[in-house]
Amino acid sequence: MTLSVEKTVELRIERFDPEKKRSYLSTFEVPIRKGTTLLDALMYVKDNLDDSLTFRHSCRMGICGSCAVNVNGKPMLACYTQVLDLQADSLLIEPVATFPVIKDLVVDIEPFFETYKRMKFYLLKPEQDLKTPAELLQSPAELKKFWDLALCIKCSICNSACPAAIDERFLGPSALTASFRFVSDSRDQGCPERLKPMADNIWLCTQCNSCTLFCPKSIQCADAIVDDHGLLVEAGAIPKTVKDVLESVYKFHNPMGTPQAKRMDWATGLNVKTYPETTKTDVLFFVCCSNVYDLRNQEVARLMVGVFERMGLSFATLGAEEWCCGDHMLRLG
Amino acid sequence: MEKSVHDVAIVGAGLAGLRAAVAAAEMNSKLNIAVISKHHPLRSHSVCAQGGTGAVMREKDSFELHAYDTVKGADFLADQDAVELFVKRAPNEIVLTEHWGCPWSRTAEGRIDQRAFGGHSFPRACFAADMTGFHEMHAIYGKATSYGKLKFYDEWFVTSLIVEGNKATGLVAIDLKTGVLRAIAAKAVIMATGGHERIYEFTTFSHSTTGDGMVMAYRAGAPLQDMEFVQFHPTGLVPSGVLITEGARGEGGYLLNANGERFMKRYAPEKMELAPRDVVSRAEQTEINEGRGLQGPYGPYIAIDLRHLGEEKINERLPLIRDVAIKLGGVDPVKEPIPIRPAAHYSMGGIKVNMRAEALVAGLYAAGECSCVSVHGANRLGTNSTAECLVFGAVAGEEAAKYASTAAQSGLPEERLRAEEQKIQDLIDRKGDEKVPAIRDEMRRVMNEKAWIYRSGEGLETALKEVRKLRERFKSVEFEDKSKPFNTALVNVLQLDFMLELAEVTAVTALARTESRGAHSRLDHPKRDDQNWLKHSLVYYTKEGPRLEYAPVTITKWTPVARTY
Repeated sequence: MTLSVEKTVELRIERFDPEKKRSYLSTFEVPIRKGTTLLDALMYVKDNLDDSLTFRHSCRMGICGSCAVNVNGKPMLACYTQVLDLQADSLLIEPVATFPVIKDLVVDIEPFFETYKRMKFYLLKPEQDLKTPAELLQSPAELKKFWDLALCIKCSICNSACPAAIDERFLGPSALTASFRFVSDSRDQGCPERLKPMADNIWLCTQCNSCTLFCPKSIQCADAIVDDHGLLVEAGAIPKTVKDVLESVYKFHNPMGTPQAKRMDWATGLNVKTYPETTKTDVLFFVCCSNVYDLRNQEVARLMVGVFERMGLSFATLGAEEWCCGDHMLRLG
Repeated sequence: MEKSVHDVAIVGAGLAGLRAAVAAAEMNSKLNIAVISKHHPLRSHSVCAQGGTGAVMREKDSFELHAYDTVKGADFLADQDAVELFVKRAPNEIVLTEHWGCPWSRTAEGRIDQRAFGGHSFPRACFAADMTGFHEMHAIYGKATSYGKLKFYDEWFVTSLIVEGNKATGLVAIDLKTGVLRAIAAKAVIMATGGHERIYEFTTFSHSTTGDGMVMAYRAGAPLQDMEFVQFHPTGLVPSGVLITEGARGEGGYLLNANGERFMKRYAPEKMELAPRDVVSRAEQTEINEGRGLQGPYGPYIAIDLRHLGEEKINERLPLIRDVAIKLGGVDPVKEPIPIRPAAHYSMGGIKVNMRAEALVAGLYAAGECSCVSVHGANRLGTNSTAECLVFGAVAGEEAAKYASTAAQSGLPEERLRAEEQKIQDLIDRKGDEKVPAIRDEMRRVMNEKAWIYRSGEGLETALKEVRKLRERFKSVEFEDKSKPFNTALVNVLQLDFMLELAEVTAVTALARTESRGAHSRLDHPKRDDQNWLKHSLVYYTKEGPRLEYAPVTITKWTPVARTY
């Protein structure tokens, strides 16, 4: 028994023929019922329309991590996506980004797992502790600290969505999250060892949050990377560029290392009131170090003044008393 | 054909295969070990195991109790010496996976927590919420990556086991990435490829678990044991068949019929929803057959109601189930009951092995669902499958390592490799008007209709006839994709060939067993018949079809009694 067809959806699938080294687009019409997943739709094509369409799949319940594809530019698990939920009559299906394509929707995941193998994703502890025939104790609260991070199914969506992952040195959100999962496991004693492989490349992460946004298991990967940063800062294992930024904030109250006296230079020629001369205003304009000191960004701040003036709002800035808001400090750990 | 040489070759990288790999590497660090899997290890079906792993971890529990629960659950068809070994080794496996990082759920005191499961007289299911297999897999895979002499052949599809003079000497496989056929010579081969329930329409199985290893061993001369015993899990999500863990009932979930009645009181008044799976599935099927199922767009179903557990408990203990029910069933179990019905779930039968995981071919070992030790007899208890994968995966790894440490490499005869190459090429070149999906779907429909929970001689005869017809039709299967790299159309043909073989074996053995025992319920022979049928069925491959033999059950302590719950 089956449900009636709700609608027909056009799948435009980005294909790759490895023998002819040819990319091409195939279009298929697929009947969609309530409950039809994107994986069901792909399987319908393979069974009925074109047996050469190639994609990975297995568990069809969002736990094996095989079937990540890009749908209208966004990565998702085919088996965990209801076609009707996409609310579209036509879908562009592509292999996930960043990875080399083997055939059609199948990408090469070997490098992804080679990184994984290097990272020692098992408990690190002195040998004699692991020889004990009894379980290691762990309270529910201690388990909770890393449980969510342990839900990663290694589907590689985070890496495919990560702009930094195009740099081969970068270990990627998945591996960096897994590292922090072990560091936050009360049973693990491998922290210093775990930090080594990431120390010189984790800073490629710009905290754009794309990994977290697309994770099908809602894992806070980007936060885990910040936590890794924090561990590296604590351990003093940070590159000079990062150290310079942190020290600048400490010494000059801004990450650029520019004297605070130049804080209002951007407003030269404009009528901008500042603290402490002005202590009462409708709008307090927090300009931000990057708009204050970066020559290109200064234009943003200047235009903002124009906006306030056109709206007839009274506004003021903190003047030389405006310090770094701390966002960079937080994101660098 | 390009060859690689290993001491031990493990086919399949689920729980049993990975556990065997770690055990072999620990046993002898000099051994060259190959782990060959048709997908990446973490894509294996073991990650779908949810509810728990059974092991004696408390003073109030005992090996005796676990063993007897298992034997009784098995309807006395289990080999009791194997069961005794099994329960004794299980706790150490829990501790080992814990030491490798498995995030077991914990009690307030920080010990590994345990929940109730069907047919167990003590709550002995160690669990990691409702993702037990997933977390065990990730822990063991992590550990397995730490051995330098362990080589993974990911996405290599093994097509044949090579046996020369009743001795396993290696394998032939397609390297999927390139599509090139490769040979792997090995002193010992361990099969760990899982079960065959994809021969059914409504199943909890991953798409890719198709019983390959059972067939390869069978065709190479190793008999399969007890293949008529297929477990039907009481709670397959409608319409996909995705597993809703028995842990949902372990945590207190109710099964309800169309009248809102907890009907299990009429079938198993004492254990209710926590009776063994064969009992619960029969009860559900009876309710459906007698018109007390709920009506839905996919036919009649049963409801599992978790609402009284409350949102907090569901989120903490059954988070995956909630997510799966919402995403794939369109219901939130916090607010509504989940629509379920029995689904083909597990093969009690498999490659016949002894307590050392040795098959009846020298150098061939098997572990996990593709094997039959037999620990599960006619019906497996929940939590005993992951436990079996760990225990007998370890046994297989140890024994194969011992064997390979002293055995000599036999090599692979060229003509055998050429024949395999020719066989694959013939499949690719074959012309005909049959297609894989049509035959596959027809096989699944036939097995669903005729070899389901309730069986009859007449129905099974029809099933056998139909399956044999399908095997004939399979000889005219043609597919379009002739390219080399990652040819999944070819993989689908090979998998269908394996499944058809197993559908036939299942029908043949089920037809022969004229009694009802455990998961095998014959309407025309409704009683258990210890006089004639307290024996294992063994099926051997011949060119003319399966040849049946029988072997005695090992009984050490517990003589069969009537099985009530």
